[in-house]
Amino acid sequence: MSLIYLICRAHGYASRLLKRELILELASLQSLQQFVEHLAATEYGEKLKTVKTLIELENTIAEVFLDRLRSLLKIAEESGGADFLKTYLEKYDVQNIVWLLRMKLGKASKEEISSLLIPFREISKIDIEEILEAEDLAQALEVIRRSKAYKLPETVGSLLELEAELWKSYYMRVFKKISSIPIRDRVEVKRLLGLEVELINLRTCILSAVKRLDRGTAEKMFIENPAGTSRRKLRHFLESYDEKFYLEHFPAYRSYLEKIISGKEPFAEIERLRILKKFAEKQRIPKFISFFYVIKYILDLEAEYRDLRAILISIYHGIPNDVRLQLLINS
Amino acid sequence: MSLSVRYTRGFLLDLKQRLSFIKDAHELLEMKRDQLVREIKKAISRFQELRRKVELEMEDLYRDLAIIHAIYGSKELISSSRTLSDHMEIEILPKSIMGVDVPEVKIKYLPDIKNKYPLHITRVAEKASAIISDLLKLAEIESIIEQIAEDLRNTNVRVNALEKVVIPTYENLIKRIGEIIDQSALEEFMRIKLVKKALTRRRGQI
Repeated sequence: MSLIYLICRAHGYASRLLKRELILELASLQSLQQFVEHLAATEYGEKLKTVKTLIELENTIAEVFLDRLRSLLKIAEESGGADFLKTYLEKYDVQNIVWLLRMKLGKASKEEISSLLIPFREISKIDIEEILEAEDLAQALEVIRRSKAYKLPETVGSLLELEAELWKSYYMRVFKKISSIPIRDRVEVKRLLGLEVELINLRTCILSAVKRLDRGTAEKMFIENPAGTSRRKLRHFLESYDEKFYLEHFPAYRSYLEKIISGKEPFAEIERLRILKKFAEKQRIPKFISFFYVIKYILDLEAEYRDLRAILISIYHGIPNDVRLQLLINS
Repeated sequence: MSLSVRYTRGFLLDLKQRLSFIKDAHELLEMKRDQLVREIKKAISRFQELRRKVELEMEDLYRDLAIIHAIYGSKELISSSRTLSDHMEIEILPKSIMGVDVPEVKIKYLPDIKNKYPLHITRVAEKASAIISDLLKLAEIESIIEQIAEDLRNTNVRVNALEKVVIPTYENLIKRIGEIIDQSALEEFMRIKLVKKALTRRRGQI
């Protein structure tokens, strides 16, 4: 089967995504019971029937999200594109390792850590079980180093640097893997990844400019971006300019940057995902039958997953409706 | 109050001395009570002020935490909360206010949270850290109020007991003993007078 089959299936799967109207309706609900009832007729309905607690609800939504990714990956394995997709989806593996290391640092038990991890072992580059068995953080880092899946320096100054190193390894691998997708589709994928890294790097710059992050740590956290501002240039920005410079120099991301400057980082995260989604949507029309559409579908999947999670936690905490809308990527 | 009463001048003198001592003690206890009332009033006003501040800060913190929870999910929040391996260290020292032992909480070590939390959590972690210091202060003042209130109650009971029971009892006793001594002195005087008269009469017959 050719890659076109995967793209067409992604188009088909996209029709199962929840409509924006339903997401907005869900955001206006007052109880978790109503939330479950409203999703009864969707893919989530059957699985949500038996769940009771917030964490169970969260896990069920994550389960549907992962099942969708697994289906896509299965088709990709038969029709090509799996090589890149697997590497791209390794971000959930990095996320798992990050959570695992944080918990190890906090001396959490194996059971506690296991309950936290995303059950997506198919894409894992590393034996998670082995890290789980590690007695402390140092031993866990040794396991990661030995696996050679992630490049970690011999000495790590802080947890932030450690997490940044993992993400650096991930993006380096994904950028390399772009060569495995058809030449005509590479540009969009590379630009999207470039944008993703650009936004992460700019956040690091601004946090350093507003003195919420040491310059030394910030420099170590920069991720190499072959499709955006280079690390060398970012270092120069860091040394020479204040936060206003970034607003003038990167006007396209103004809303994102302003939120970081004003200390509203969680909202900046939503803005980051909105920018990525908007970028993917812009590329869609001229390149309808393109591998990029599969990536766009994955972004949409993640946006739906995060929106549903945000809504149910908002309902749980009784966050006002107007604030809930600000937490949605699909608002 | 049980006293073995002896109707003697010596005992009366002793009672008067005791009463004078009790009155002095009563005065001192009254002064202590007034001072404790002043201290408790001061502590309550500090407590109310700090509590209002902490309540507002807590509301703000919970709002931020709920938003972070909604955006990043429970797993991110749980794992982030475990990243600080250092623990805060406090020392509780005894302090005396008008003889009342109250605790004084001193923060010996406050972990540095810079670069220790994920960047999106740092701000909330900083807020929480500041609130913990305020909460400790609040607990300290609350404990001071409790201890002073307990001592104030005891002091008040003592002042009232002295004022309403002990002092009146002593005064009555002194008055009664005084009267009895006066009466027996008069009787003695009369008896002597009669004896003198009888002796004079007897001498005249001889």
